[in-house]
This record gives sequence, structure tokens and C-alpha cells, in this order.
Amino acid sequence: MLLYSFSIFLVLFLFGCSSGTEATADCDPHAGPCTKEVDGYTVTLDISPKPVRHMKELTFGVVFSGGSPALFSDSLLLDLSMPGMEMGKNQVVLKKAGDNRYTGKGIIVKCLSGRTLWRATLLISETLEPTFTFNVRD
Amino acid sequence: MAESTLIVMLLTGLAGGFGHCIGMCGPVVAAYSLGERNLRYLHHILYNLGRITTYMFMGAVVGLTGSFLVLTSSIEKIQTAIMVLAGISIIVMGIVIGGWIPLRRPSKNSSWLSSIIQKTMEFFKGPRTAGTYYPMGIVLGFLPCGLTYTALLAAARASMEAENHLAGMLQGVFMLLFFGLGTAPALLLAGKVIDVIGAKARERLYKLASLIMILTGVYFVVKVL
Repeated sequence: MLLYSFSIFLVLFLFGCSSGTEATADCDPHAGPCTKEVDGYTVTLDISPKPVRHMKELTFGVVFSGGSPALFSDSLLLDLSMPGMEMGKNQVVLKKAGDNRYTGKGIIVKCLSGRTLWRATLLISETLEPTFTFNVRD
Repeated sequence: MAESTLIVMLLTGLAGGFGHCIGMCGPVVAAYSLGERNLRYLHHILYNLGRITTYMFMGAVVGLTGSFLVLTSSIEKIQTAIMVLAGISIIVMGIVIGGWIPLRRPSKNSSWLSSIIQKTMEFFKGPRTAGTYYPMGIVLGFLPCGLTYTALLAAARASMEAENHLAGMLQGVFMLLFFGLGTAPALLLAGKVIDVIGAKARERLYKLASLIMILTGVYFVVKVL
């Protein structure tokens, strides 16, 4: 019983702390916009002000090129998550601000664990979800 | 306010409780649980109620102001102080629970200073009265937590669409109530498991647990300095 209880606790404790995935940054939003090629489109994400910090109001801008903008609606959702750590649902609504351009305001929260790696996933459709993984500064 | 919003908050808390809180708040729960041998469930329930009370208070503030940043910038210094205080408390609990410093009962010959130190150490070692745990939960509910921040962000966003400030405030309170209730099962389970471990393997695991607590406490303090 003791071993069983301890095992459960250890699994839960490690699950809460685990890095889960071997995610690494593929984007440096402090230096400039990040671009991804997805399904024939070029998607560019820009976050300002720079450097991108936790607990500050940020403006997220997304620009599409290389395809028909008619595919996209008047607004899009940008999901902010931390690889390997459940941080709740934090989604920024991006409103259309031009032919191929969407912008919205949001906040990246700070985690007590000291982790700074975040992932922004653009929820366009079930098959089209470009992601940008980056470090946020304190 | 849509019922679905509250259900989403409850589920967010439930998922976050197991995927986030156990890892981040597990050491805090371990710290207050290990010395407690008299109360079966009451201390866990009271601690969680205190924590949820604080969440509801913060939900009321973001609901009323419609701003997440107004709250977080206002309580930043308080959170820093609580984190240092919690860190030091966990270190002291680790030291006394691990038996790294021998405790003697204060005698008539003890000086007032050593008597106060001994009584403080005994408080940290436990068992404590049930009345300790609700205020403890209220204070530690202010600990900076990314998951709670996300819940508060959701409450701030939702309150911006409320009819008036009062409706926004109530929305914030209820959203954080449901979020807090969702996080409770994971911490209650963690606390109960620690109780079981503590009761059956006091001598073997207390030294190890106390070392983890001391390291956690040091981490809390170093993190904010």
C-alpha cells in the first residue's frame, strides 16, 4: 500500500514537473518576425513590443502570403501554450486588419517553474495549424 | 453568464490540477501535511478553501476592473513577500521535520528568546490546530502561478463583455470559484497520499522529504531575489 501510494504520488509529481516534450525554440521574436511555410502559404508572426516579455500586453500580428486570403475568416485564434506544462487555455483573438493581415492583443503569463519556452499555434483549420516555438524573456 | 464558461473553468482547473498544480504546489502541500497527524481531511479541505477564497477575491478584482494587469501589478510586491515567507517557512519545516535540529520542550529555566524559538519550531513541526489552515490557504493562494494567471486572464476577458461592473465582478468570482474547485481534487489527493506515506514510513521518508522541502524552500527564495 505504501509503495503503491508513493508510486502514484511520484508519477503525479513528475507528470506535473516533466518537460514532456523535447521542444526547442524555432523562432526568435525578439530579433524580428518569424516565418513558416505551411501548406503552400507563408505565415509570418510578429510580436511586439520587443523584447517579448512575460506579463506585458503584447500585440500579435500575423501576415499570410502566397495564397488566397479568401480561405480565412474575419478573425483567427492564436493559442498560447507551454510545451510540457499545462498552463490552461490562453487564446488571443486576431482580427482582420488588412487583406492578409490579422492582429490582436494578449498576454503571455509567467510560470513559477522558471520555464520560458512558449508555443503559439495559429488555429486556422483542423489541418492547418502552423506553430511557432520561442523563448520569452522575464 | 454561460454555464458552459463555468464548466470550462472547472475542467481547466481539473486538468491543470493534475498537469500543473501537483508539480508546482506539491511541495507546499507536502510541507504542511508531513507534520500533521491529528486531522484526517480537515486540514486539506480548509487549506484548499482558503486558496479558493483568494482566487475568488482576485477574480472579483479582475472582473470589476476588466484588467488582468491592474491586479498583477498591484499585488506583485505582496506576491514576492509571500513567496519569500513561504520559502523560509518550508525550509524551517524541512529542518524541524527532518530532525536536523533537536527540539527541546521549553523549561522554566529557558530564556524568553529560546522559548519563542522552541515554540516557533514546534508550530512548524506540527501538529497544528485546524484554524491554522484556512488562513494559510488564503495567504498561499497569492503565490504567483501561471495557471491561475491564465484563469484570471479568461475572467478579465469575459468581464469586458459583462453588462456592468457588478456583473463583471460576479462573473470573475464564479469563474475563479469553479477554476479553484477544479484544482482541488489533485491537491487533496496529493495531500492524502503524503498523509499515508507520512504515517507509515515516518522515519524512512522524513529525512528525504525534509531535504526536498529545504531545496524547494531555497528555490522559492532564490527565485524572487
